[in-house]
Amino acid sequence: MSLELFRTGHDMWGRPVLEGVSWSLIWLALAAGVAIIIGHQLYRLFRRGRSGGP
Amino acid sequence: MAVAADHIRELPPRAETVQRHAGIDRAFHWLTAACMLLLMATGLLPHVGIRFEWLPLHWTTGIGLTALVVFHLVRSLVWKNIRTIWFSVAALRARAVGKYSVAQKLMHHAMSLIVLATVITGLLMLKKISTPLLVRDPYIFSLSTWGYVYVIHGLAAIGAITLVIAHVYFGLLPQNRMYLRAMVSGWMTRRDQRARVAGIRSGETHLT
Repeated sequence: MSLELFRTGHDMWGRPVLEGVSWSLIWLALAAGVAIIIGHQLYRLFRRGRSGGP
Repeated sequence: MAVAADHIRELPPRAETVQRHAGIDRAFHWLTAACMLLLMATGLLPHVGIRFEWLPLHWTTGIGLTALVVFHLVRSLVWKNIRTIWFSVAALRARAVGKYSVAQKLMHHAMSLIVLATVITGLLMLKKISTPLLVRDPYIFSLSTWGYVYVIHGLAAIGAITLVIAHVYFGLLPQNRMYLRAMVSGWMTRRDQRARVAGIRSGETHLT
């Protein structure tokens, strides 16, 4: 499955034109936000484990 | 009255608190947050299947955000010290303690970039719709130029999703609760202030 980055259309002469970003990127941005949260929680767990703290 | 009295009792004595944000800056922050959330909801929800008459609310909120950005730019450049939000690699290495941590400054710069990109492209896009502010003229740009305008607006809007999630998450972390309270009430306790300085100097909290 490939992720489209842009939406494209055609002008009146049939030439391809850029129309905007692909709206499927919304889900990618949401996933990136969740990944930041999970990544930071794992980082905290790792640090806590190394320092021997609670 | 009882509620007000309880609230006053909860406040630490004045000598134990320091002011972090003036009322005008807190109002700017929360109004900007409201505008951003409304703009993201009206701009993005129709593209995930939630259909409604989004455009009038979207562009009027966009004008509100533009006014807030202009206000903040003028206030920051004329009345405030712009250096409180800037940082250098040397300052980072020295773990210098300023008003904002490195993470807060990076968040501010990323959000500024996204907001400026959406505001500038959004204002251009006003020429494509009928509003009382501007005469509609979609022919000021070629189709391909409009494509780039839409790409920049869309990329910034989608980037805002990730940034807002990160901003809310880090703002709600227990060790950052003092910043959230300061952004609501304006003050932080001297104990929190000391813990903050110690955290930054030890490298514990400068990046989180």
